[in-house]
Amino acid sequence: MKKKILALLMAAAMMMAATACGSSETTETSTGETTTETTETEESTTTEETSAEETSNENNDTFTVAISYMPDTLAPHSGGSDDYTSMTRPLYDKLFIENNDGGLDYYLADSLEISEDGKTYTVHIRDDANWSDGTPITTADIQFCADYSVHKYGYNRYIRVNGVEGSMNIIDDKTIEFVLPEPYNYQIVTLSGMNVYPAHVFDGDPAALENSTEYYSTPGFVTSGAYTVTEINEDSFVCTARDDYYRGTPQVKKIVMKVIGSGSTKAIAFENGEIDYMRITTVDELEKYSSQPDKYNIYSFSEARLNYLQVNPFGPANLNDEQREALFYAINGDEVIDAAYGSDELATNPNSILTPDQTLYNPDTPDYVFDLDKAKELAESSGLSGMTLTYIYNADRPNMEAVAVVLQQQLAQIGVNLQIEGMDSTSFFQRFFAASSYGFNGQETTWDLGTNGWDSMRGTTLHQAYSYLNQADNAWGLTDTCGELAVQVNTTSDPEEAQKLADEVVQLALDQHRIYPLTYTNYVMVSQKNVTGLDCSPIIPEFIDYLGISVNG
Amino acid sequence: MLKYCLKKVGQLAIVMLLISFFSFAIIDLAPGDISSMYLTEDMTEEEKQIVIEKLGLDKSMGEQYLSWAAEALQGNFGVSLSYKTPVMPMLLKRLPSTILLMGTSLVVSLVLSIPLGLIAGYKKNTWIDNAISGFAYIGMSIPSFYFGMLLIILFTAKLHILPSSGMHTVGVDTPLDTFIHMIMPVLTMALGTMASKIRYVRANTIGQLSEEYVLAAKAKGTTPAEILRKHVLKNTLLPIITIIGMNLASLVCGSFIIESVFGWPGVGSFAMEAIGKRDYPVIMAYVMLSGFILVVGNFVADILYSFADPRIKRGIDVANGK
Repeated sequence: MKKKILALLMAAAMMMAATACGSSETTETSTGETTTETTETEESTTTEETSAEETSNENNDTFTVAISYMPDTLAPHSGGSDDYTSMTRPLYDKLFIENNDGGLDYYLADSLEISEDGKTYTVHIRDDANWSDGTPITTADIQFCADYSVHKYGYNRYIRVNGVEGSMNIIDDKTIEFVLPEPYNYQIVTLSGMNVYPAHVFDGDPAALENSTEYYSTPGFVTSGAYTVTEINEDSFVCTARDDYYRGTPQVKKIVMKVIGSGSTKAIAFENGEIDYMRITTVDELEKYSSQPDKYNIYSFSEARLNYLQVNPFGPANLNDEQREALFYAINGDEVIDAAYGSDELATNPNSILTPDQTLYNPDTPDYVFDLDKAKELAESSGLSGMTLTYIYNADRPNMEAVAVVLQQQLAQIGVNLQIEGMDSTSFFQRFFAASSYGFNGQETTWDLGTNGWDSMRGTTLHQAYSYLNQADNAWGLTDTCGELAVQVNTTSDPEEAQKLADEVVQLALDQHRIYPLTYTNYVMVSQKNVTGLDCSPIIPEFIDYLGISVNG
Repeated sequence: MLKYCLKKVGQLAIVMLLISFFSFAIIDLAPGDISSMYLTEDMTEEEKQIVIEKLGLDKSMGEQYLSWAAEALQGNFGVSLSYKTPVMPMLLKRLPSTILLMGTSLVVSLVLSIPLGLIAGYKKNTWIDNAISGFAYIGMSIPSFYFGMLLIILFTAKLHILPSSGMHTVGVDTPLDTFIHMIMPVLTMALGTMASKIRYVRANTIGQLSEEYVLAAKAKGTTPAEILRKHVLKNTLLPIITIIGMNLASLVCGSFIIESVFGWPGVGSFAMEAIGKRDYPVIMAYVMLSGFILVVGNFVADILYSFADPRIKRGIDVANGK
């Protein structure tokens, strides 16, 4: 018997040893600095303290963020999802970004000059902009980005317009010119999206950057943002504030990006203090947290996003003008907001295919009118009544299912049976963009109506509405005039002329009853009471600027 | 016995071939592919084509399968389309976390289910049996994600004594910390798997208790506890070998649901992410790994069976003409 008890104890000891082995990996990937702190913590850890340490309130200078998965690399050019962008925001700065007021917020650059003819874009990099290893950020790094583009696509995408390349001229270490073959206002969007890579790390070799997964998965890799990565664990990574960051020292000294389980787990983790903020998308959540102002802060700002309903020109029903008009008369936009979102805090009823965050947006653009009687009349006369239409939506996007159900009910009133199909992003995009991005892969004929969203609709251009209006292969069923006008908006250097043309093309597109603007969404977040400044730079994905965020005791 | 093993190995190869082919076909038929991560509306047609060619998505399903199979036979499962890094190191990196979680839950479920099954069988049709059987039915019926959420609500939201997610507290590197993070996922996993084991052991115990050797032991004055421990236990464990063999795959491949609910950084949540992105090299490596372990687990269970029960080995030998 004693031998058996001993064997059981040995087995328990082995399990504990296995557990210890699992966690020792963490130490190996830590920097020396972090390991020292870890050791100090270990000495004073008890069960209760371990639980308490999960709460960020104990750590005044630590901001804990929930992530949905642990990335295998933190390279600036990997990923592409909003989640990944958020994870790498503290690490990499852009040259500049377009803000919600139609201007530019400068980061690595301190000026952008556009020539009168709209063809030359001169960017000046801040004199004090530097990489986290102390190396100055120069035009050589911009050249490296261009080289990477050539390596990847076969041409320099930063000077290319409509298949024709211009030239890129390095004036000096800090000044570079992008000369376009023709005026192209969208160039601002292209340049603001540029990832700047450290040429000195890869010896200017784009192939080395392409194969940099290992480099970007080891703590200490070079960054241009306010933080560097100092610790990578199985389920989290830690960003530590740089003390030589060119824009100043962040108040938050550490950002912990931690994997939190799916579904309601995130809300529980937030309420338990394990994470410092989360997004809320329902009115119930909004009311719940708003009613506790002593515990939580609520932040709400425009997401610069338009969610819209698209009528597919290749759909099986092949809806004619009158049928589309009937559909749009039957949609009650206010009811969509009320039923699917429940509050103006979460979404508002749009009037245009541009958002109020765009300078070209015109608040006087007439909205579609809800008129059920007229809708019924048109539905009967056009033969729409009694038809079954296939409606697809992206189930990964918040509130889209609720919007689908509301539309189903509204269209049922004019005798239209809406067959709803929700799917994940990957399936949805292939189907929704079958005609525009996937070269007519056969899925363009499988749906009649679909809801999609355009994000980052801010700045001085038509942004995503441009490629929509200037459609390839008649993907969205608009007339060619829309494309011609959109191109003119994009090429004119006169703001007044651009506004006039934008008004014209937006109205023309709306008149064709192909696109129904459904919602302008707000990005609403709830944070712990001691966290402030989450709205200091209201750009989504969050947070473009960590300097304004603070975590106080 | 050798002939039997060789025959099993041959079957294993055929099963693996079929698994790989059908898995590949299912992924290919599934709507969407990874290009949606790379293609944007502002790309030119040239850029889109270059991206699609680089991802190898311009080839037919047959061509893609053959090139994948040729590499896989050499142990190369390709490069993740989303991470641009070899798949196997990515899987292997997550393996210890999964083995730790799944192994612990397997041990916990065995340690609890065997005595409970024995007691339930011995106390057949009493309130004790009913209570244990009721517990087993609840374990079988309750969805694991739901039970996991209940635990999170109780221990994290209400009692504030356990963390909701993850494997470690950042900056804390102790076995105790990992143990604390493991409690809820292990309990959730163990409850679901121990229910069936309890039923198996109970049924076997009832059968064994009616055997004559038990009657002989009773006649010799052996105590009920000793009869159960020394005689019945060994004979009731036979089906458990099969169950463990089948559980070997989950030991390595983790659980989609448990790892997702608890944010456990294991192979299961990694595969879940890959499925969402249609990262087929990762999905295929995962499917092959799980299929291989499952088939090997069953094979090993068959072999162990013959050692645990000499009658089976004799049966195999007779079938092989010995």
